[in-house]
Amino acid sequence: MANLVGAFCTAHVPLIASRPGVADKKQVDHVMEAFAKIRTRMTELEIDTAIVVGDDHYTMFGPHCLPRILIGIGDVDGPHEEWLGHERAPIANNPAMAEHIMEYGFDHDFDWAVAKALTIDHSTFVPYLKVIKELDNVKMIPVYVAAGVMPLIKPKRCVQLGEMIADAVADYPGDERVAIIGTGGLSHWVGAADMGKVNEEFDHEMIDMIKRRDIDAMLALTDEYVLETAGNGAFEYRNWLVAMGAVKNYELDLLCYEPISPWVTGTTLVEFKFAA
Amino acid sequence: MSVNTIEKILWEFGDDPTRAKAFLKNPDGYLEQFQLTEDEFKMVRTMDLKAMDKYGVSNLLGMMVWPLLNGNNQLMAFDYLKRMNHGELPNNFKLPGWQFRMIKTALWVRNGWVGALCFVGLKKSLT
Repeated sequence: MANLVGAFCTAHVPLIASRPGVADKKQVDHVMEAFAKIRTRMTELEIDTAIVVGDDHYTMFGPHCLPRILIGIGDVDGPHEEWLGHERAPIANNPAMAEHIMEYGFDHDFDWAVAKALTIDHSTFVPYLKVIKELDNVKMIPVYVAAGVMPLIKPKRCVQLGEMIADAVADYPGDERVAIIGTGGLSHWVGAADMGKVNEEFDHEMIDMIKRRDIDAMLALTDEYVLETAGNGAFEYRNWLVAMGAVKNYELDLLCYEPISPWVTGTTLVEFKFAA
Repeated sequence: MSVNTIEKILWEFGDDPTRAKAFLKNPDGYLEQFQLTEDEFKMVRTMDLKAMDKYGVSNLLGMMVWPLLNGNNQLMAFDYLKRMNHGELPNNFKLPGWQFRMIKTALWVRNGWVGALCFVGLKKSLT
């Protein structure tokens, strides 16, 4: 059977791909070093498939159809956004495993939306660009949850999704070594009047909850509180909850935290190191 | 007739930029195809970002269409932010003082230039 052996969370702020240099060089360097550490760990863990969890930003999907949970089972390419400054190009999926996870979900009360061919946006493209693309032979299965556009997915469902994905991987009759990567920023106000502000206090509280794997505390956060305190972008902690749900016991390795106003976000990268 | 319709209009600008061009060419005619209240029509017609924000339109869309309708350049994000803050640009990006002042000046000059062009255009159309 396949093994889930790695779990990470990374920022996916588009400026990482398009214009990282607008931010302070020291902060940018810290973030890039953290991406390098993830690449090193992925290599050490001999990862060959990464399940990357992102959220649409009204880029891929429109008001006519807003999937709450989506899996890409076939052809993948990206990025969707031309302004990221990267040519759209094919991205290797693991279609057999993706289809297995899809079917496993159907059998376990997850009626996914399914993308047979998907052009990904920056939320999964940035981790692809900075981690997966630079490694040899790592395939990527994109998963999207509604953490950016209303109506949002319930956080509890994200935890359940992570649990189900871990079970689906364990049920897969291959010998793949798999990582799950949650993506997104901490506090950030996307397109709002406060765009550029970062609430470091909220960010540290969130990191602390993640460190303790205090899922109950995270589920107790109301959307009103998160919006008021940390902005509309902070709803992306839902993506992280998927990764947290997939790993029952871990020790958090905080690879970096930087409040980067020019990138309009509290930026952090972590590894969930599997505990016995 | 709802925030959903406005979101549809804005999203379609991003999905198919020829729609944004059609809107710029003939905004009243373009908006006729949608079911909008008088207030909603005015909001979109004037691209009143602040009003749309207050009405509940996704900020993701406001930010997406602003450069499509106003040109994508280095000042775009600041111009957008200024409009979202009642005409006062906050230094949310924590830029050094000199740089922030330079951007404010550049915006002032650009908007003054655009205003002058509009005035000339209006005068021409009246005579």
